[in-house]
Amino acid sequence: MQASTPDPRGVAPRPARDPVAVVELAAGSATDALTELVATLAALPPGTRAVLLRLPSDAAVDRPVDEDSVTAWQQALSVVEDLPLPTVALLGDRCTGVAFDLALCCDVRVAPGTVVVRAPTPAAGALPVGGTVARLVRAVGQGVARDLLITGRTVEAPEALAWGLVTRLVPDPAAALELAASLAALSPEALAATKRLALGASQDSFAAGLAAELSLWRTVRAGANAQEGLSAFAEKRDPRFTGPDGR
Amino acid sequence: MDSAPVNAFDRPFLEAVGEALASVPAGTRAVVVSSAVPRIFAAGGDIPYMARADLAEQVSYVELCQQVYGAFEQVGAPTIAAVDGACLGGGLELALSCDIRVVAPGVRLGLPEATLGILAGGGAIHRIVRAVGQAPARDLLLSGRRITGAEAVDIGLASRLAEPGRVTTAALELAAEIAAADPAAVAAVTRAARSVLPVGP
Repeated sequence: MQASTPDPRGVAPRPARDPVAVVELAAGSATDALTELVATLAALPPGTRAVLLRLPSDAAVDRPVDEDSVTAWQQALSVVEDLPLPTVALLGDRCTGVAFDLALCCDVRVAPGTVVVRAPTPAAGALPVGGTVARLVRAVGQGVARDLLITGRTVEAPEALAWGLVTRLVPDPAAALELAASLAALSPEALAATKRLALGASQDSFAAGLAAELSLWRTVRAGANAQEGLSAFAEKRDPRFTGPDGR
Repeated sequence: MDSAPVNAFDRPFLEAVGEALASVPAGTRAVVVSSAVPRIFAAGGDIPYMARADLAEQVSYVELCQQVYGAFEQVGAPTIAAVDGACLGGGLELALSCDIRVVAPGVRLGLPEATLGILAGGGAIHRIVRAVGQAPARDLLLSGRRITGAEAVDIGLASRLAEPGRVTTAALELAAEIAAADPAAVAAVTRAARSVLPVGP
């Protein structure tokens, strides 16, 4: 696996110094694929401002076999969820196993209208040990999550969209790359702060959350990108936000 | 709300909204917030002001936003947002602070702050995650994407649809239904529901 590889399935090769890192989950053992994914994410080029994570239908479906690999899974999934960059998951026609867990760790989930989604659960022959239970409840609420976790039912596109298991259905996978590129053009610090607050909102007290929103609002507003965004809006022009590499 | 052209939440208008809410008489059984401006619920913060004001002044403005939006969760009766026009940024922050959102299918709703290089600091990040869960919330927050009223109902961001031009009427009818129930029980349920963390640790 390598960031920014040309896509054999119709997505054009990416330019050098691309702010979007395109990463594909490897086939084979899920534990190995996760290890490789974490290594790839740790080595992203410094100018990276968004990640497109491809989760093919044939992604691994095996589950961790011992306590050490459970820990490794949990840590790897947290690395993906906690990336301070916007993450877009591109699903194939099927999303289950470790691909399901990884999709939930991403901020945006793009899928074809033919997609079917299934949580890794005992009914599907798997134990949801990678943080699936907590993430699914936080993602869709108890109302839907307990059904999916207990019954292992297969969910088709319309319901998956309504519940947020996928957030966008697209006819052409290239739309996922365009979306990642549009996120990569935004203010990195505004996105990182918003993401951190949103993830925290499933756990913190409301009063602490409001204080954190105010505090990070101040930090982000003090930066040059916020001034650029607000000025551009007031002047009715497109903003030009700068990344950590000054580009 | 009646501050043409877009009900922008500049400081004086936001203060006026807060005062209107504070003057709701004791014993009121339901509150509806709607717009008198055609095709607009509220378009959000005062961006030109934010572009030029100094940082301390702006932080105090965001604090005022938190107070005024938060006041919709402190009223002793259920609050209903009648959204019959664009509901963006601070407009959606305010609507998210209400107990119930009634929307027309074609209206646009969104939190575009991230596309402006800032964040939705008025409480909306926490309120939208708690309203609809992480799954749709992070997409909406990070992309700033606008969705329609119909999509908002699909994902649970709003819970009722009404025809364009009839949204406020529908909200008032709903308010009348609520007002017909035992007010102490309604107030107790409202208070309890507001205090629960739906997607907790």
